[in-house]
Amino acid sequence: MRDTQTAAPVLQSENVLELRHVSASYRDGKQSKDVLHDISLEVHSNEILGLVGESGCGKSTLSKVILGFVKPDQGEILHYTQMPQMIFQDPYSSLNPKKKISWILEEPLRMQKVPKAKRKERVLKMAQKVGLLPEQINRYPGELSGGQRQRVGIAAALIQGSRFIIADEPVSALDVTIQKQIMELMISLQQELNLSILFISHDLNVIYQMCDRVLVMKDGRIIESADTEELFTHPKAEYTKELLSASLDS
Amino acid sequence: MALLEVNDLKISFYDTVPPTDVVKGISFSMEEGEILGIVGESGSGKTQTALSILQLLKSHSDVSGGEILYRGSSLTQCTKEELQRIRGKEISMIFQEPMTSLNPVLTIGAQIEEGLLLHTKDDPKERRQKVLDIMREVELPEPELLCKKYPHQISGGQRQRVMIAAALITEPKLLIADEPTTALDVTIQAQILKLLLKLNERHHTAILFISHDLGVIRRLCSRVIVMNQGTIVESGTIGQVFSHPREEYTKKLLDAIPNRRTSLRRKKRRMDLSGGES
Repeated sequence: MRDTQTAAPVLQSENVLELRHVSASYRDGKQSKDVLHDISLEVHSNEILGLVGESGCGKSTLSKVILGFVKPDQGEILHYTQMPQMIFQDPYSSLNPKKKISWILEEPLRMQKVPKAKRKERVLKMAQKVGLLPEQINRYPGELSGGQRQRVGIAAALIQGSRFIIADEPVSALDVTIQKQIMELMISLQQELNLSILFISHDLNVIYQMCDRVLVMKDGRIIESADTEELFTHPKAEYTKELLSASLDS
Repeated sequence: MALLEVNDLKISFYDTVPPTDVVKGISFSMEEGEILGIVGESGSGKTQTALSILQLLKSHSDVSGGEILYRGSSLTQCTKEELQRIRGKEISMIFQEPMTSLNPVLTIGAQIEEGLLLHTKDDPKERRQKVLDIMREVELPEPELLCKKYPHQISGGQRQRVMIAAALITEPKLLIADEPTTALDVTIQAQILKLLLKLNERHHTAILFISHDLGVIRRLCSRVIVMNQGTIVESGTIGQVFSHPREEYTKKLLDAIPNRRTSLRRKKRRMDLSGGES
């Protein structure tokens, strides 16, 4: 069930992304392995769309296809806004260990030739939005905790003004209390900035907490798609039922 | 006599000046055949506690106080040889990522067999039979074929089953499991938990199960210890701790588990609508 009265109805009918009959495969020498089969989906503007599935189901390949890192064999990918920005499971691997957080966050702005004073201002503002203290952005990535690093990851995704985010297991590596903080942060940022988020996770309970709609993937196919409440109360596909019972409600 | 007794255990890291106490005097005991959970967040000291039992702490850390008794005899005081007899024979351990504990250049069969070579006088034929038996018991498919394969040729779930087989082939009295299902998909996780329960029932192997995941602890254990910053915050039966947590920290931990009752997103929207705090 969506609380439709709280969201702008005009925006809801618009999509930020559409995939139509997308198939993709990886080639290793002469062998080719199909990883995505006939994927069609829409990401509505202003929604958190969940994508759930187990290792190897093609979740991450799908995000690579959306970002243009993997060329699809067939099908169309239609972007209605600028390219989405990514948030990863552990931003540590994408943060330069030799640079301070402030430097890292400024980098894309520097490339866009934003003047120095303006850069500093935007970084400070963004840091505040994601709950980082000014002294924390003067530290190196190694000096931050996992939760703080994920706040940096979120800030890095948003600093250029992108409003479409792909979050690939953003809370999976975090302790439960930190996990909850980051989920709450993402939810309030979504509302404040009208973000559209494709939220990839293997954790159904996290998906339930976060998402408006859910897509279930298995073996490179989307086997079920429904509003969150509907999917959890009336799953249709056998596989969805199996997933739901394997991850019992705690 | 308790199977395992930990009295006022203290563990310190010596890579800082002064040393950092990571476990600050904890006590607990386990009976034969019991499944005890230790739950806590990163930095709570749960893994250090588990490692200290078999004296597997890294070189910069050490037990700085207290004692660990296995069937009444001290594990912290015993010699290297005595310890070697206990490791893998009386007490076995499995870890989160089996790939880092399995030898990549040895076949599955050879690694499962190792415990028998070290701790028994079985001849090759007996050993082979036992390897195939335990592989069947942990539900690894086609043991005859699989035992000739290497770790990278099998799936993550199968690797964890191989670890469990290798740990249990010597029929230890105690299995220490440090986050053994954390790296696995939910359906595989559920299978491994079921397997551990079955083995516990069939062989009466006690299990000390370390996890940050309260949901997993709840499904597997009969008793649980909650750790935070090197101390035991609360302990009790699963029913007590989960239904009637006494300590604030435990309540906070339980409250943070993502559930399927109230969605954070929809709750936030309702709050915003009613003009409440966000």
